[in-house]
Amino acid sequence: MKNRSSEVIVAVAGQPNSGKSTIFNMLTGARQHVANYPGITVEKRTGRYGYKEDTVTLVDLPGTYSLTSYSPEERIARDFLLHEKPIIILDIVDASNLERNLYLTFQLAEMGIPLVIALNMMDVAENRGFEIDKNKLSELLGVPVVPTVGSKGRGKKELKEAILNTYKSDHFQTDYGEACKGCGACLGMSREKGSFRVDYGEKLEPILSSFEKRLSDDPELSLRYPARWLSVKLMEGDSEAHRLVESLKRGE
Amino acid sequence: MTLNDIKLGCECRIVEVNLGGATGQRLMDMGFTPGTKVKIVRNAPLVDPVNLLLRGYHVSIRHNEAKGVEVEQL
Amino acid sequence: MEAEKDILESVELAREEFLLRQKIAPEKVIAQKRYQAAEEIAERAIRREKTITRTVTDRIDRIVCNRFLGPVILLAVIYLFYELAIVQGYKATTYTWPVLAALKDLIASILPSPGFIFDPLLRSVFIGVIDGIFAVLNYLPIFVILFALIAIMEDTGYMARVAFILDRVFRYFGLHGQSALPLILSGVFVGGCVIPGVLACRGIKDEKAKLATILICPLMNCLAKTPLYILLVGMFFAAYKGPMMFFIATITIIIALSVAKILSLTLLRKTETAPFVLEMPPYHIPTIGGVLRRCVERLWLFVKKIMTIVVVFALVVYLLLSVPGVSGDRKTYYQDQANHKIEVFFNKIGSANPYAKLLEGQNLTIFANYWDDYKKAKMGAGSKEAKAAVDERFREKNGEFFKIVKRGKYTVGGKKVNDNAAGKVNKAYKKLSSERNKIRREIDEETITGSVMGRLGVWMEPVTKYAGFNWRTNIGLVSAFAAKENIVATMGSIYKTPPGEAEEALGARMKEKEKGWTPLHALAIILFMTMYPPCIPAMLSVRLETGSTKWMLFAIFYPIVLGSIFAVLVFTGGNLLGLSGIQAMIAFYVFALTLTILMGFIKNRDISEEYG
Repeated sequence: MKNRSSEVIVAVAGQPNSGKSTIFNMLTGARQHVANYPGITVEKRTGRYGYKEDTVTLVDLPGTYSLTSYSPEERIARDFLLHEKPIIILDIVDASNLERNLYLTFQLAEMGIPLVIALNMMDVAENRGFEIDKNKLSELLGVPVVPTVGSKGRGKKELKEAILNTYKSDHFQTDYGEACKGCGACLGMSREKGSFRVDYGEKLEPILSSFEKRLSDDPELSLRYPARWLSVKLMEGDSEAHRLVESLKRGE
Repeated sequence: MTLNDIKLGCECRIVEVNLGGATGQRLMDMGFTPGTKVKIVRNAPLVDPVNLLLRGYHVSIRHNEAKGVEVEQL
Repeated sequence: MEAEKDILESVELAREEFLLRQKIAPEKVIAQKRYQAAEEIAERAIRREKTITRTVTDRIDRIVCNRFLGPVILLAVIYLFYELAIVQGYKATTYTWPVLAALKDLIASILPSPGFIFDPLLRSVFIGVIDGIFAVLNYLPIFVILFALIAIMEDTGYMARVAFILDRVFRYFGLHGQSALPLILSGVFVGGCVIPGVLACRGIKDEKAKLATILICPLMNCLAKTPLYILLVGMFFAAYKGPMMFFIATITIIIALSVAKILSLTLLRKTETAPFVLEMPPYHIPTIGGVLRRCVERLWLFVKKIMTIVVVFALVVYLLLSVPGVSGDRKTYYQDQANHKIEVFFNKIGSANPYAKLLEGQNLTIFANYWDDYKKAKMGAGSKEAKAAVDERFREKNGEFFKIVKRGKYTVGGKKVNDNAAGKVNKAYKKLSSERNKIRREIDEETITGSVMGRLGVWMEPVTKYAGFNWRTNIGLVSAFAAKENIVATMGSIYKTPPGEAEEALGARMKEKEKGWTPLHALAIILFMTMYPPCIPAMLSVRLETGSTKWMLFAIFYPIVLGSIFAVLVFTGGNLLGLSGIQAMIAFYVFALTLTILMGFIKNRDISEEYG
């Protein structure tokens, strides 16, 4: 259950050129505020909208193709997701570029925060001659998928509804504890272990699982960082992830 | 054989990305993985960079980077 | 504690082992598996009805990225940018300037009135600050148009194509294809504005190239520097106007490219550089709402972050040019002069004149202001009706004064009156008014010369003389730091040209005063000017976009150093070698061009490729 007294903070993520700004503007209208992320000149845009008695705050993350630690934008996006604890990630997916966009989606999902996908630029996909079955996609990914055409303002209500349903759901978990058991009652979908998990192959998975277990058994680390995400990042050789663990060890 | 060796307008398939560090990661992030089909669309008016088509979208990289992508002709 | 340490070590071990056994790095497998999963999902969720091989975007790109047509179209787009932003934008300022001027007058009328030869401090300070601010605000139409054009460029996706076409050239100098737009906006070939140029650097992803671009934008051709160029070229290079303007127009980008290269090899060597992997998004028709929103956002950002500081600077600059002001003794001297002229005035009109009593004491000052206001209002009135309205207003304000300004010719109860006494006063006052203005100008000049900035100019002379700058030039240049528009006005004060007189008059006066000046003097000043930081708001934009005051200060100092070196090189060098102005110009141009071309051949050190 969403903690009634706390603010509903939704992080808006997505790749560049996915129409993220347009969706952001569509949802927040004029209620926006632009600042700077500390120490860097990347814009931090926050906005608000009201829907059915609730006020939702949207934080626009920098557009990134991935979540490595190689670029300042990626680091900022990750930082926010790890430390500011948004309760939902709104992932803007370019329908005409599905494969590449899913690459980011998977990494977002690993962060242990519930996902809502806006399948944007549906009109462009149509012009290119293909159509996406949003129900099928939702089923495969295990998250709500809302088709949108940001430039025409389509999907606004449905998106707000999906976000609301997600944080009001009985199975909503904000901690990095157990994921939803997947009875499917909340969103009319069947799922196994919550949202989709990438299978990293038979050579890698055992190693990842063992690290996952070690990390979730560790009292300090398990509280701070999602085990799955951290184990994948560490195996990737991600320098920032390495540093996060190190500084925790040093008691910072 | 690398991306640089493929003629304009032709397609090829990626064998391996032989670049490390940020560049290699970036290319992988953008979809340059073994088995992916890539089409050389065109060169810039001054030769560099080169416009490629893969996974249904267009991306431009420098010839220096293309040199590090091993491919097989289709 | 132990557990974490083990974890990091274990990971290291696991990675090494994996690489050894599988002959491939774990991160590569991870990336590949992700895409594999993506492909599987995409396959199942996408329904392909028809395969379109040639999209509209492709068709457009065939032309826009074409080997020959591409650059041509790019040039056309750049030209269009100029036409709209600078030319039309400038035209728009002719409409906004009157508004600002009217606003200024309104504020001036609220402030304490001017004295006869000295003004109340509050008034002077306020007007000085407002002058500084309005000079910048005047550019708002140009900013608005530029911001809108940039937003359109980005939204349509054409920006990526610009980077695609130009990247090769820019890369030789440590810049990026996307550096093109900011540099163009800042003024390549034609005068531009550094402020939107620097703000446009926001879009450059590569930190190193972004920083380099931001730091060289101030070197480009600032529109406001043009009047000075025209003045000096007209004075000393009249026969070579064309080549000189071409020289000025192109030397900046040449030098900028070299500077960028040097920066990327030295100061910026350690700055993070991003791999060049640029997505070329499909073309997209921008929405008016989106463009407007972006435009307003940028404008608001500008006002909030830059104008607020400009106010402070305008005050500081004003103080530097006024403090310590005219000394007590000198004040007495000027007052005596004024009193003498006033005495002459009263003698002329005679004590019998009914208006003499009216103008006694303080009233003379009040009348003086009334006179000036009336003249100004009459000048601003276009039509016959407007002029009549002005008359009505001033008649109501002060009936007696009105009679004087009308030269004694007015109507009473429908009848025309010829008031000789008033006419006499009018004639005498005309003389007094011009004397008054003369004294004011002298006070101005003395104030500037004796001010902090002025003293600085004199103090610097022993060094600046190698560049051909005497103390008067120094003052002009120093005062120009606030805004380039200032320089011609300041020169006007220094060379005692009445405000409003044409530049030829200023030119003639300068030539008269500076008899020893040769074209080399002018060339040195021009070269220095090309490098000189354009204005305070521009430098504040640098601070805004780099997020660092350190870089802003650097961006202020290094061009001044460069400009000084060039000026000295040209002046002293030119004199030593016995070169004429035009010869020195050609020599410098060839030198700069050669240097830049050579720079282009030096290999960049930022490309790090790790194979494996």
